[in-house]
Amino acid sequence: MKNENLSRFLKLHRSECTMLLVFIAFYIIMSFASPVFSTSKNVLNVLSQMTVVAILAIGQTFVIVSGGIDLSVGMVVCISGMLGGMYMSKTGNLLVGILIVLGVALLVGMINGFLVGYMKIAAFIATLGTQSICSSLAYVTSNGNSAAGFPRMLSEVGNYRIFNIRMYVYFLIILYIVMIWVMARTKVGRFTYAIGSNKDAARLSGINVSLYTMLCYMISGLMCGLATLVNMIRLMSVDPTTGTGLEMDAIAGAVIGGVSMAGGRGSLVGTFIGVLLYTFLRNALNLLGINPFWQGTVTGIVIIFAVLAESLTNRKNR
Amino acid sequence: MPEQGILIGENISKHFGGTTALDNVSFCLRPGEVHALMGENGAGKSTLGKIFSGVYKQDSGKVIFNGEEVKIDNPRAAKEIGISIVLQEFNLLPDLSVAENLLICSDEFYSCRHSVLRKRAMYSHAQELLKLFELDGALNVHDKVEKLSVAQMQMLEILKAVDSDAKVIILDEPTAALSPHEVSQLFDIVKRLKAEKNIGFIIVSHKIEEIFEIADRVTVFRDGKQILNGEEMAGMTEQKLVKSMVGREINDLYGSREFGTHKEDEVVLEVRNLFDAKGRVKDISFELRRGEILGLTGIAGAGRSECARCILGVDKIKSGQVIVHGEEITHPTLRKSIEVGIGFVTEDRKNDGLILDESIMQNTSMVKHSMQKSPFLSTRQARATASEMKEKLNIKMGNMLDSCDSLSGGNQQKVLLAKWLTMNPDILIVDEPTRGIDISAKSEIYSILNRLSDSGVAILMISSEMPEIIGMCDRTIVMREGINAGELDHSQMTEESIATLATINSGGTVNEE
Repeated sequence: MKNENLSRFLKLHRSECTMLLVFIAFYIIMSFASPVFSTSKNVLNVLSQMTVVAILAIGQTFVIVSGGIDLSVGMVVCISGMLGGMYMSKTGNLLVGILIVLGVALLVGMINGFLVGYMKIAAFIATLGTQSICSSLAYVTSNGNSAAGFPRMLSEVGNYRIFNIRMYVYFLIILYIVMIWVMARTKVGRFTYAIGSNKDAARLSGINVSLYTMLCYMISGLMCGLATLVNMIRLMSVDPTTGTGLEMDAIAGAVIGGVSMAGGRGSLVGTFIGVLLYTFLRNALNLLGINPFWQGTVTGIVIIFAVLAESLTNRKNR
Repeated sequence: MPEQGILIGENISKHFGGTTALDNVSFCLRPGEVHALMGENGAGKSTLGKIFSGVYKQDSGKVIFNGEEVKIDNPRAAKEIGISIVLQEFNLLPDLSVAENLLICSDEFYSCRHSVLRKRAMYSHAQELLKLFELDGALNVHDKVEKLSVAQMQMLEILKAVDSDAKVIILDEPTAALSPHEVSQLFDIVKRLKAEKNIGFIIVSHKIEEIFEIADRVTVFRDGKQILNGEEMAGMTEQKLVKSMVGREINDLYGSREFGTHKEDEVVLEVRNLFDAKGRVKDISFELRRGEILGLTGIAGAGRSECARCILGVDKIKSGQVIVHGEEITHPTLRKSIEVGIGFVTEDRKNDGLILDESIMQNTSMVKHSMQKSPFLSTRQARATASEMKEKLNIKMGNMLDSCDSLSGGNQQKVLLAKWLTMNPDILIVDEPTRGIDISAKSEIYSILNRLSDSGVAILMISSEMPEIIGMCDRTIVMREGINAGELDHSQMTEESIATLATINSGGTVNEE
C-alpha cells in the first residue's frame, strides 16, 4: 500500500522529482568545482537574487497552467515601481506608495485578464500589447529619468536580517507556501488546472471560465506588485529599463520546473525548483569565470533540454 | 493449413504495463471481404487494428501481408505497403479544403521538382475521385474540412485510403457518430469498394445489428482472448454473438421499465416555441414531467443536442421560453440552469465532458465545486463524494487519485454521470448516454437512469440509437432539420415509426395519432 502511494506520487510529480535530482546533482558537482559555490554567503546571495524572478514565476505559473502566457510582467514591474517610487520620493509616504505599486500592478493584471478572459484575445498578443504600453508609460511619466530616494524605512525593513537571511527571502518562502496551498485547495487553483486542460469541459461543468481566467492574470499582476516592492528594496531606484527581460526569466523558471506551455500541467513546487536551478546556474557560470556573453547560450540550452526531456518522457508514457 | 489471406496475424500478443491486451490471437483477412472485429471495450479489438496499422507494435507474433512477413513500425510504413486505418479521431487538416486533404501529399500535383502546387489539376482530380464513388453530391472539393459533418469526414478519410492504393482498410468504430442514413451510405461505399477494388475491410465495432448487415466473417475477442476466429456470418445468430462477446447472456438490457406509469402530473420543465440563434432549432415545444423519461431523437444534425444546449443556456436562444418548476428562466445560462436543478451529461465525454488529465476525484466534484460559494475546497469532502459515487454507480477504478484517462469508456461515462448526480438534479439531460461503451456498461447506465426516474428525476434522453429510445423512453420527440417532426408514446414507438418521422418530410403536416 505504501509502495503504491509512493509510486503514484512519483508518477504525478515526475517532472518535479526529476528537476530536484538534477538540481542536487548540479549542486554537488559545483561544490567540488568551485570552493565558493556552496558557502552560505554565496547561497544566501543567490536566494536574494532569485527572489524577484521567483515571485513573478508564481503568477506566470498560474497563467501558463490556465493555458495562457503573461509577457507583460517585466514592464509591469517597471511602471508600478516607477509610479509608486515617484510618489514615495516626492511625498515620503511609504504606505500609500506601496498601495500604488500593488494597485497599478493589479490593474494591469486585470486589464490583461479582461482582454484574455472576456474579450478572447490571444494571451500572447494581449500581454504583448500591455507590455509595450507599460514600458512607454514608464518613459512618459519619468521623462526618461530614474526615480530614487525612497523612504529609508523601505530598505531597512526589507533588508533586515534574521539568522543572516534577509526579510524578503522569508517573505518569498511564506508566499510560496501560501500560493501552493491556493493552487491545491481553492477554487481559483483547481479551476485554473481545469481550464488549462480542457476549457470546454470546464465550461460545461458550470465553471465561469472567463472569470477564473481573469483571476489568473490578476494573480500574476499582484505577484508583479510584490516583486516590484522587493526589487525596490534591493536597488532603491527605478528607471525606465528596470524589469527588462524579467518575463523571460519567469517563464524559463516555470518551464524548467515542468510547467507545460500547453496548459493544465505543472506546479509551484516545480516552478520554485526551476527558478532555483536557473539562478544557481547563472551564479555558477560567474564563479567559474566564464565570459558573461556565454551565459545566454548556456541558459538557453538548459531551457530547451528541460522541455525536451519533459516531452520525451511524456511520449514514452503514451 | 495456411489460409489464403491478404493480411494474417499469427499468435499475436500485446501487453500494456501489467494488463494483457491481446493473448496469443490469430486473425486472417481475405481480399475483398469485410471482416468484423468484435468485443466489449478493452477486449483488444482496437489494439489488433492498431497493430496492423503500425500505431502499436506487438510483443510477440507475426504479421503476414501478401504472403510475406512484414514489420510495421509506424502508420506510414503500413500505408506504404497498403494498409490504411481510419481511426475514431480523424486525421484531417481542418483548415484545408476537401481536395487538399485528399491530395496534398501526392507528388504528381506539384511541378518544378515537386515544389509548386498545380492547383487546378489537383481540384479536378479530386472532383473525378468523388464522382467515381458517387460522392460528388455529398462532398464539395472546395469545402473546408472543419465545416464538414462527421459522416462527411469519415467518407473523406476512406477516400484518402482508397486513393493511396490501400489493399486493406481498417475502420475503427466507424459508425459511432453517424445517423442511420449515413451508416447505410457508408456501408454502400464499403460494399462497392470490396466488390470493385477487392479491398479487404476490417471493421472494429460492437454494434451487432450493423455487423449482421455488413460483415462476411467475424472474429470476437474477450479480455484479450480469442473467442471466435473468423466465423462465417451466415449461420451466426445474435444470441451467439452477444454471448461470445459478453460471456453471458443479457436478456433485459434496458431493465423492466413500466412505461407510462412513471408519469406524474407535475411538469418540471416546459419549453415553448424555442428558436436558437443559428437556425438549427426551430419552434420546439414540449413538457417534461417528474419521473418521466422523454426521448429526443432524430438523425445527426437534426438539432437535438443544439436544442438541449439552448435550454441550458450553453448556446444562444433567439426566441422562446424555458420554464422550470413553473418559473421562466430569462436569458438562461448554464449556471442558472444548474442552480434550478438541471444536470447536463454531454455527448462527448472526451472533449467537453470530463477533464481526462485530472483525477477521478476532481472530476466527480467538479460541478459541486463550481457551484459552491466558498472559495476553499475540502479534499475530505471530495474524497467522500467520490467514494460515495463509486459505490452508488459501481465505478471500477484503481484509485480515485488516478486520472480519468486510466478508466475504460464505460467507467468514464459513469464518472460523467456521477459529476452531475452530486448536485441532486431534478431534471437530467443526457446526450447520447451510452455512446462508445460496451454492452455491460450500457445495461448499468440504463439501470442507473431507471433508478433515477423511479426516484422522481425527470430525464430528457437524447439519443440516435433507436433501440435505446424504444427501450427506455415513456415518450419521444422526433426532430427533423430543427423542427419537431412528431411525438410518439411508448406504445407507438417502432424503429419504422421513428425513422419515418426522422427522415421523411411530409410537407409540414405530421401524422399524429
